[in-house]
Amino acid sequence: MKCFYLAGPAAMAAIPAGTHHHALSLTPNLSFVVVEAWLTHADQDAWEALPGSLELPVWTWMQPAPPTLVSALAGYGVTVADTTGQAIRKLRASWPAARS
Amino acid sequence: MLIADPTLEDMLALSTPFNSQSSILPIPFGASLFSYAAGGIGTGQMFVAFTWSSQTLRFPDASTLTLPAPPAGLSLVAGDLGQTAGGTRGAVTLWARRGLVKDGHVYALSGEQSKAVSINNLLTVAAPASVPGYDGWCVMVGSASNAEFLQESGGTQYPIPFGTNYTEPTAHFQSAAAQYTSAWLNAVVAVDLNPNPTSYYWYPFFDVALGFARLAPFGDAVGDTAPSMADANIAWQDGRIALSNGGMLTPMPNGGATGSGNVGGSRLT
Repeated sequence: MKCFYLAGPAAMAAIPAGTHHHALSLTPNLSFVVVEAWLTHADQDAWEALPGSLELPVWTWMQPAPPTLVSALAGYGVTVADTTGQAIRKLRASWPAARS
Repeated sequence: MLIADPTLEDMLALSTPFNSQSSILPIPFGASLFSYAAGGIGTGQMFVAFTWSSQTLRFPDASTLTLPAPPAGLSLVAGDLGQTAGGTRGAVTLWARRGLVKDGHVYALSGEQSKAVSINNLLTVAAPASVPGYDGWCVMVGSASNAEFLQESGGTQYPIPFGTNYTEPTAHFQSAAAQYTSAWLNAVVAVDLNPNPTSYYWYPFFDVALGFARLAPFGDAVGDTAPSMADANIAWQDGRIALSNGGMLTPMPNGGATGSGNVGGSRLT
């Protein structure tokens, strides 16, 4: 299952080699990350525990988008009125990888 | 092992003597072998730069073959840049790089050098030594450090044949193609692509005879925007080891933005 995140530079640098993923740089300090598949559960658990990564689980996509996501995607038309799912759909219009 | 010389009947029972292909069975190697960086200015000026680390490919008989990482950058020293009278332009400082070209993709891009070009003069760049297996070489030129443009229009050949030096066209260097970023170093770069909403499919393979990895489809400004069986076949042809179990998808960002990721590999691992 795909996993979605916001990640800072340190977390980006720590994505284990060989992890099938795509990332879009939103600012110099923040990227939107889609992990197609973690190589191992341990990889996933360790990376998600790193400071600077914010998971956007699919089961939260009906909830209001977290402020960090709203801020990060403001340039893509995302507002506080958007759910996480709506925000990611707006990003998808500019970056095809942003899809579940 | 044969315990007796094969008879004609034995030989006729085998297709191998009549078949020039040398099929290669699946080879396990590291998952998501390739890292990519996608970026660029905009339409026709985007790029995808692929990097990877050296891999040990394991054949069915347990023998191994080394897939090398992308080739190191060519050398480029100040003395490789020069000038010759021509054109109409004020004095200007230009920066340049040079690289190798295979299948329209840029390999082994060098570091940069600058040259103070006098009024009404054209920049020249010396050709690198010929490198077996490559189609030619290319040059990148710009008027600012680390901002060179790939030169392939306005009279500049792409690739430039080995043995032919580059001379800036009389209309001067062009800024119509892809522009350098540090992602191009130690990478194989597909150039002159389009931004979002385009996604490209790539089919990498190890060319056993040439000894380095290549990327289908071939050509500058060429990328598959949908899966292509024809280009997948290029990666699976005789003498080649496909390095992806399917098309490697690289979603392109908007012009001015950058994307990255890991793709490819994963066969049997």
